[in-house]
Amino acid sequence: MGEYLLEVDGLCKSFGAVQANSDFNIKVRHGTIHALIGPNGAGKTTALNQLSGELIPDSGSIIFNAQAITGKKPYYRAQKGLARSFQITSIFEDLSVEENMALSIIAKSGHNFRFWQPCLSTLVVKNELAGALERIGLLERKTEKAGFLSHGEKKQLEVGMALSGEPKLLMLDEPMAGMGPGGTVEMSKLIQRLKEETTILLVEHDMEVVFALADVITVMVAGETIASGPPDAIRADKRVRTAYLGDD
Amino acid sequence: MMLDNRWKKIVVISGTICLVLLPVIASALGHGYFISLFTRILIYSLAAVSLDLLLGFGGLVSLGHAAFVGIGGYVVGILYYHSAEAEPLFGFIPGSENALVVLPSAILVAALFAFVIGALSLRTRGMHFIMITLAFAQMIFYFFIGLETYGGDDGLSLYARNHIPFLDFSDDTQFYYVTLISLIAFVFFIHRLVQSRFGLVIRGVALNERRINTLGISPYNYKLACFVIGGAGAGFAGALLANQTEYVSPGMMHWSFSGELMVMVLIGGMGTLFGPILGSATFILLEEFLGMYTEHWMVYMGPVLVLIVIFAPKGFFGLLDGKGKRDG
Repeated sequence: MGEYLLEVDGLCKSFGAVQANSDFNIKVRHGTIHALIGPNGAGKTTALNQLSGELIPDSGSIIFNAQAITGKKPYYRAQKGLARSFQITSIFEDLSVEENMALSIIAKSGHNFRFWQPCLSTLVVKNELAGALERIGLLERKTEKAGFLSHGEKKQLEVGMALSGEPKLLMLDEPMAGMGPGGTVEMSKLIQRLKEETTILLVEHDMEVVFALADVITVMVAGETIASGPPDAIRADKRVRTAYLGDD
Repeated sequence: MMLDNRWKKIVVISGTICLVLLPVIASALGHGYFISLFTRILIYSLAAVSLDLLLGFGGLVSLGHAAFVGIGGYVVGILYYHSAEAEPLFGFIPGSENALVVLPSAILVAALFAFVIGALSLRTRGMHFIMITLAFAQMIFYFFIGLETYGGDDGLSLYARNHIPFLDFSDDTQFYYVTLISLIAFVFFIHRLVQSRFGLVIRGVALNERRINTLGISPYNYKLACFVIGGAGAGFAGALLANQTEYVSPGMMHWSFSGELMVMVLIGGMGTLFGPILGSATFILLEEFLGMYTEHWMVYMGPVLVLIVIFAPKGFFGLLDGKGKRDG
């Protein structure tokens, strides 16, 4: 096992004339919470989309778990242990909570060309479903349509689904977005707990949360990374203060 | 899931009982004609349910579904032709009038076509998918129009239905029951299918393909399998239809028939599985009875369809959900 789980080098991505990422670098160590911050429009989500494989970079390389995955498809990366949540919650709104979770559970089996037995009564689902729903506190609401959940609950379901694949790296795109103070506290606790199980790459706007949770912070401005280090170093970094935190 | 409330159960069970008793009642009343009318409804239902698998569960809006019905029909027609002429197809495939050979062949050939068409079409999505399925269906339509050996655009007449041990397809009542059992078996199969692991994946793909991808599932093969199963079902319906009418023609695969199947699914309720049966019954009965007064019966059908799409997006069958559930 190398020192870094994820090594990204010189990622560039343009959309027509707009250069979203010009030189994006990040190195994520095993077992850490690594935050990626930057002002609006800095290209954080674009970077994340390239890591998850929904966008293919124009140049640069992505090495995940000692394997180059730069041009691979999203489902391939997910199978290799790279899971993500979306800034705009992405679940199956028309399916029930348990069906959502069941989908994430069966996603890790080699194939699902099983046409007869009802999914919810298959062994693999039965074994894990209750525990997975318990973990995110939605066991009691399992038969509810996922679309009826509150915003915070949907987020928790989404994170829970990303987790059931036992990912090596969990990428969370603004998990606190649109949440009330109570929801933020709940989610922070969940993330803190998850640190025991997996490595986390956290993209977040809420600075309090970031500085409280993160072991390492990478700062991104105008498509490139300008600094990376532990929270105290970032807080003291002159360029970061100028570009991002505001010069006071 | 599909029968999640009392009203739905009542409708489905009483509907089944009516269909089972229909030939008895129709003969008692001396309206033998109803038996063949309802045989047609059952066959169209089978085709509509197979389309519902694509539309309502797989999220695959195919406007070429009639092609598979037609292919199923032509397999029956062509095998019959070669059996009657006693001259093997391509010089080595003997013709057949045995339903135990012909029906599985029809299903298999339709599935094969669906595999090829699906494999290519599924590389596109949305509007492009609709158009490419339509284009393939029209290609097959014109191919059969040009196929003079089998009657070209005049179609091909069978002078008898297929044979099967212990049963007599030429007896309308027996054929009705064969059709009814086929439909029940098919609906039961699809009912299981959509709740299986495979079914959950295709429903997930229809709702949020991006999420399916990031969960680690490659959607393509699942969509293709779904398309093939739908096509095979349509082929089966086509084979039954050819037997009922003892006639096949390229008209069976015209895009307007694909459109009619889609209308049946919509008025009955997309993604409800039982709805398309209601839909095809409504459609054919309206066609039959309005058609007695005017050949422009679609003038009346049109507004009905508009009202249904606006006020009952889940069709007739969806109306059986409680009000609260529909609004929620």
